[in-house]
Amino acid sequence: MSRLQRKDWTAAVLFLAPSLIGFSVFYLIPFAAGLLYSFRNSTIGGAFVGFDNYEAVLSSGSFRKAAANTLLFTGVSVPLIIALSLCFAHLLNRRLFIRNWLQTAFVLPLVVPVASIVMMWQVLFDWNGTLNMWLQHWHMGRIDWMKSGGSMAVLTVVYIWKNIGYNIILFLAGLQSIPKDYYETADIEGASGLHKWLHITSVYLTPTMFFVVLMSIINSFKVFRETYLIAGDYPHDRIYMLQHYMNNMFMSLDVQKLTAAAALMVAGILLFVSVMLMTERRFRSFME
Amino acid sequence: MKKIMLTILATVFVFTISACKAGNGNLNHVADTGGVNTGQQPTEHSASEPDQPKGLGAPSTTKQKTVVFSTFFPSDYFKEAKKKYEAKHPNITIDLRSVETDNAHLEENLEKFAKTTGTAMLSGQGPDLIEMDQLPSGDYVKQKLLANLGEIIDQDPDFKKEQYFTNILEGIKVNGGMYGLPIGFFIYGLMGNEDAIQKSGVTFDDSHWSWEQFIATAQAMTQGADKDHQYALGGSMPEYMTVQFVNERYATFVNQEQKNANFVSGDFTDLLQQVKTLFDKKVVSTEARFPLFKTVQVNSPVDYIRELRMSEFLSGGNAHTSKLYLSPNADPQHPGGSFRTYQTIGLNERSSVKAEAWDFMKFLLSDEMQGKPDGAGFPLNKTSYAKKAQALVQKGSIESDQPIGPMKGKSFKITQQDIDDLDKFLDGATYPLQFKPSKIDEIIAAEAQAFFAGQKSADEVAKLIQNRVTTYLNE
Repeated sequence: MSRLQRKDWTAAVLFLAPSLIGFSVFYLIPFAAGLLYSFRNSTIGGAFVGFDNYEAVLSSGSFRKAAANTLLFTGVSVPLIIALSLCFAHLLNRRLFIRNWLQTAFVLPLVVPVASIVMMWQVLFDWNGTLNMWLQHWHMGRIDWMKSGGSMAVLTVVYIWKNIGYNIILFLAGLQSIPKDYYETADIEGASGLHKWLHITSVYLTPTMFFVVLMSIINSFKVFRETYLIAGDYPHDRIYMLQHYMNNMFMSLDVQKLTAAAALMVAGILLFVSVMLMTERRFRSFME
Repeated sequence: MKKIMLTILATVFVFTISACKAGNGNLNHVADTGGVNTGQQPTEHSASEPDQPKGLGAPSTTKQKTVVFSTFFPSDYFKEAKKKYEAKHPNITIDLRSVETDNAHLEENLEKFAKTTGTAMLSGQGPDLIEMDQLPSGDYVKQKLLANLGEIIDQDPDFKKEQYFTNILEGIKVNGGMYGLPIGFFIYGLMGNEDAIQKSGVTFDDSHWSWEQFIATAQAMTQGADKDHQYALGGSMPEYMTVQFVNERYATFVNQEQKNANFVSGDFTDLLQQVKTLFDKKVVSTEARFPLFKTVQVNSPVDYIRELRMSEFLSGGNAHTSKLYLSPNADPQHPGGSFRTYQTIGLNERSSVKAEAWDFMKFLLSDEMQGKPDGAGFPLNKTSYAKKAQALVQKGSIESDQPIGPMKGKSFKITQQDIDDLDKFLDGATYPLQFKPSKIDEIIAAEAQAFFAGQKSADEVAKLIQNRVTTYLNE
């Protein structure tokens, strides 16, 4: 018995080894090294300085601003995209004669290269761009979209446009996997549409929901790439994100602050994800 | 069983991590023993290593050593220096590295170069000597990656400061330390139309003039002039003029210590307005054909003569004599011209061949190298400059470098008087201009454009600049 088990383990480790090694070389070890750096005052021959670097990062006004912006962006855009994609998934779940076309259209933004997205964005939202030309044409005065309080709204629009297709596909799969019998039974018993949605759809969609929320949060962090490409390393402070801060720290060779900021961000994400996973586990045990 | 496997896995991890650490430790060791005393902390040093001689000591003449010298652009000057130096010091190899690039990939390669050099320096494996022109030298200094050459110079009796342009050596100091030495430098000034100035009869003292005085003087001089001659200053863009004005009164707008900016203020909107007025009133223009003054960058004695004499050969009755003047300065209490260094070289604080690298650096600045006629910029070495200038005076004339156009085939006269005039500028240059515009400069120039194009009000622009600069300062 124990021999068999050992055999299993060896096989498992052997199969896991390639990805495990890759993961540790590219993620785990660098992150551990980064964590060590965040407690030292220099990358080479430095001394242990305790939480000095963390203090420096937290006392930086720009870091706090970046953290607040990132939280705000994720906090606003993720619920929004979830609600919207759920609506669209419901619409697409019906018999529509152009359903396949619509599905393709929704997924298309995912495969468009970033460079062309940025290009379009620039053409539309630049100070001398199309949108402002129209505004001026209708005598409404121009708005410097990327350099005003509205810049985050622009960011949200682009984020939703880019990621909604993926979420719709996931929700569609979730919706279609709910057994039809439940709805039929509910119909026979005369349940209203809202009732059905609340007690069947929402309940059976929750596992999918967890996954979609997680992916949306991760994707909301990725919007930095587009922002950076269009507004550079020091954008308007409404769209100055944590990644801007870390990127700029890297460019100014401040590894201490960079690693401390990264550690703080990872701690934040970790906390959030573990709370989510815990809730999911609770939910599962409740379902059983 | 499960536990055993887990333990094995954990050990493997710990092993890899500690192996990495061991590698690092080794490296530290080399760097520590190799990087000979720079005297940065004299007290600590004399306590721990009492036998160490002060300064870097003499370069090795017996041991094989390699000095890695990294530049972005390949340079013939450095290539020749390498050849000559290696011939003199057979045990030392200069490993000259540069980036092959073309115009299409210049920006991309520049970014890559800055990133890789930065990372290499942080991991202690950077080149021994680095050309800093394309790199954020301020950050390098902040991270203590560069040796303080000021201290090395003080402890090296071979390096005689007075052989060099001491005003430049003083000017490039950062917080009292010197973290790079330039091979050459450029100076800046205003090339004035001397005939028109004489004719107007207006007198002025360019060694102490503020922008207000300059504007008043210029307006008096250009009164009643025709369309081509009405401008006092040409060759300036409003947004860069704004940047220049801000930098001249930097402390008014940026407080680096308290990390705040003061752009949302009457001072700054006035400044923007002032620049705009200059352009509106036709005192300054980008496309003035024959302005009274024109901002010039003087690259070498030859360049100076060309800039100076060219105007005498203009066709269509526009020929005139020229004279170089100092630019107005926002702070008339501290007169002096501006200069910009070229090919500034830094010494890696953690280099294991510091003594050799410093020796090569001295060779780069020696008369043997600096006396060569084709180097760009004024040589930092004063003796070499004097020799070059003398050679020119003896030759008596300089050929035009333009292959086509009205200046083709012209030759320009050069006299001792010209060189004497130029000397005043070289010795008086005290304000360093950064080789690269700073982040703040970039932000100001980018945002100010909308104001000068008439699209945004001064207040709006000031707010945007304040917003972005604050983020930068508070990082």
